[in-house]
Amino acid sequence: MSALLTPTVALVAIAAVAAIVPLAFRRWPRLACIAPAATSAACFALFLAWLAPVARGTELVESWPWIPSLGVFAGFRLDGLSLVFALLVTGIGAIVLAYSPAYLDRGPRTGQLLGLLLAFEASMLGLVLADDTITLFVFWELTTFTSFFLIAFDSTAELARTRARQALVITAGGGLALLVGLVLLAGAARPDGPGLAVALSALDGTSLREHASYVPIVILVAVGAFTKSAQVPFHFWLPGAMVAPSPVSAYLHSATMVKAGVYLLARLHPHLGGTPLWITLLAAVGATTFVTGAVIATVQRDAKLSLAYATVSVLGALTMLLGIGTSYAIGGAVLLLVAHACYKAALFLTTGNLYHHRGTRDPFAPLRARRDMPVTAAIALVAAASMAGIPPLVGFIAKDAVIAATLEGTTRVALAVASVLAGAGLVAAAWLAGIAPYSRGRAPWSRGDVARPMLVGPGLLALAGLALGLVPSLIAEPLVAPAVRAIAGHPVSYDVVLWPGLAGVHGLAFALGAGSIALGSAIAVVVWRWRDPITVMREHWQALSGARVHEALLGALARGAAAVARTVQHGRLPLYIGTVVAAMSLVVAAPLVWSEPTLQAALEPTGYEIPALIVAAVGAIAATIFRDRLSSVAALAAVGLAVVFLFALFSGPDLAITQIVVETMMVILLVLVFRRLPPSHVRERPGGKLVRLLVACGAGALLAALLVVATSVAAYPTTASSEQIQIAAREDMPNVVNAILVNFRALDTLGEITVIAIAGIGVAALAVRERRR
Amino acid sequence: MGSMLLRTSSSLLVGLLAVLSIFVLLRGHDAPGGGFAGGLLLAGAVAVKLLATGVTQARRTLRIHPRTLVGIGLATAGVAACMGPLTGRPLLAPVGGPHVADLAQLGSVLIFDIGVYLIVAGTAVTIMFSLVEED
Repeated sequence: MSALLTPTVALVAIAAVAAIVPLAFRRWPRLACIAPAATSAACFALFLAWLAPVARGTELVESWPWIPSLGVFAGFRLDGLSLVFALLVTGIGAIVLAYSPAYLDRGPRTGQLLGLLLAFEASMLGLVLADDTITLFVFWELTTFTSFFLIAFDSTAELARTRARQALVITAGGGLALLVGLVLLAGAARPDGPGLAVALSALDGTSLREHASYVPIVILVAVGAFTKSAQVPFHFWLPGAMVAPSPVSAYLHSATMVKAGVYLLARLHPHLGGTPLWITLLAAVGATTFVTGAVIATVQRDAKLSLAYATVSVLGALTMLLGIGTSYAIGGAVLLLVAHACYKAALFLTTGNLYHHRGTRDPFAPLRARRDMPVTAAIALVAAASMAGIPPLVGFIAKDAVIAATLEGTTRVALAVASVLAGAGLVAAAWLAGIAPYSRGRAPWSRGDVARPMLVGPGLLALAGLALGLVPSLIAEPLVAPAVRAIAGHPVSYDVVLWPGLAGVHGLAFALGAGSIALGSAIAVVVWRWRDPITVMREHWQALSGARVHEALLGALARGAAAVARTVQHGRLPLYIGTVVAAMSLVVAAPLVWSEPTLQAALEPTGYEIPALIVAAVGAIAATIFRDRLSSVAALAAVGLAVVFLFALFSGPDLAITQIVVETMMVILLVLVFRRLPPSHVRERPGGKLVRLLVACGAGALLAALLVVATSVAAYPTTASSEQIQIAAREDMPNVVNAILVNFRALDTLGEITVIAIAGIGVAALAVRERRR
Repeated sequence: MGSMLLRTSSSLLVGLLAVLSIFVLLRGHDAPGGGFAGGLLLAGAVAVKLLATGVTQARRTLRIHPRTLVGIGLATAGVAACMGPLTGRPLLAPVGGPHVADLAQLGSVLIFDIGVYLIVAGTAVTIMFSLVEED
């Protein structure tokens, strides 16, 4: 049964449905609303079937050839870590996909949203299943692009477009760093391989940590992970992305995509982790983000923004735990990952209900009715309790594990303090997002709530949080332990229990957890009591936010580009031509003088060459003397024809034929162009004539010198090798010139004719534009 | 535009030049010539008509829009490029055929050259027409 679902099958199935759904929605809206969730749920069920084999230590590896010459293959692997993420991606995907149609009231863009969400799901699944570094990177960028379209889903709103661009610039920028890091990694892992890519399962941590490029690899990979997972100072794009519809935020910005960075760090932990650099970098950045996110989350007046900053905070915690890297910390990270996905997705969806039902997400907005939205409120209460870390929910187990992990060892007082502070902030944020919006109401009573499909999904997630808390053995052995082994990279035992007792580190951890709940409750009271002054203060601080800095930098870039364009693109034709000719002359003249060529010109014209040269010289001189453009062109044509004659004399019939048709065409085109130019040279600036004279004479003298030097070279290097000429004879192509053009160098010619076609269309477009003016 | 002499002789000249351009194209396989020179010759033929009778007449003589000529040329070159892979050889590899009338060899090389011919002619004529048109 489980053998049916290999990663490739799941990917192809989801991608196929993603392609069909937007079209199918117009014809069969009902089916198109069910199919995505059903596909995702089926994948979830089939991944569940892999739990037992993976827990026994089985690893599923698939590999398809892709670019063998570069060592790139499309490889997929299913191990403990990948399985946790695959289950989250498909499980929460199914819930979000079932929720979305109702959230949009099955409006005309429902099909589009479902298609985009599925495309994202396929990308994310590919990312967590990829075994090959290049495959991983491709799926990594695919999640960036699909999320760009999802954030900008409300594409008529300028804010949505700005925020989507912001997220794209930050995460795609980090993606570039990641690409360099991964290529360096492949080079370090396989110094003699053909190398762009390497299988993640084949990495050898011991030699990598000793390698010369270890430090750049860690820093580049970390930058990629930090941007994707919204670590300080890149965190601002995540709250900005909250302009997306709530189901999108629930899926991308809490449960899955933002955890891609964490996944990458976890995936590479056995190969790169454990060094002082890794521990310091991840623990410091993670702890900073952990506290910063939690603090900002408490001062928001929008339930969704509170949740977004709380997500930033949890991502910081996950990064910090992967930095610490003990089996305790890794276990805490896996637990926190699962618990957070359950409660945060549920809270995002209930916040969506709130907005759908009331049109506001302000937790302090006056309510129309008492006991409004009872079911949503109950779901939100359970999820918020899990977020705050209250027993017996799974959030409590996770929080306890996190604090216990920071208490291990001696030098981690700062991390423990950070955990307590951030935990308190999360408690207050949980109250803001999950309890405050539903708890105060005035008469009359109302039991109105949103449609049932919008309650089932979050309800299931909240129940899952409760069930996993009460019976942690459901996930302990089959899910958490294999993941911990995969992240640690060696066999470790990790047990999950609801109540670990008070012995040793657990007693202190429990006391600190209780303390953080008490502190968080106090913060919640403060936030409620002084809500208006806090809002004023927050708006004051926003001038310092990363988003403002980012926008200012982008604006400066655009202004700088405009200034450069104004200077360089002045639109004066004589100046353009003068600049090009002068620059070209300098570029050619410098190496010519520098190389000190030996001149042995044997320019002794004989026979028919003499009259041809006389014609050419007279034509050239005449072209400069004539004041009338047409006469100048005619004189130039005479030069050209003389050259044709010379080519013919020197047994170059191909050149002669080409030259004569080009020359003819050139004269025709020049005549046609001159009809459109203004009658005479425009107003002359003082000294302009001198400059033009200098440029023209310089370029002419240089070309003459170049010819003399070129003819002095004793042996001409051949471009067509004698071997090719022999092939031409054998392939029955006596005309070697043409054989080279359309046979041996056909790719060059293909490129050239394409350029010719584009240039012709460009000229035509310019002429049309000129006429319209 | 154009003198009586030019107008009268243009019909004859255009036909001759067009035939000559095809001849130059076809003989490129064995002797000097080829798609590039041939294409420019065809453009020269159209230029004669253009200078003699104006752009409207020239368009009518050509019958086909020059930009379409460019498109057909690119497609032809593309088809020729793909003939290699279709017969199990690399992209752009020559696929031969029989010799015809001691002039040219049928095959992907000739088809490719015809593509070059059409593109060069089409582009040159497109530029000329767009420079002349006043509307």
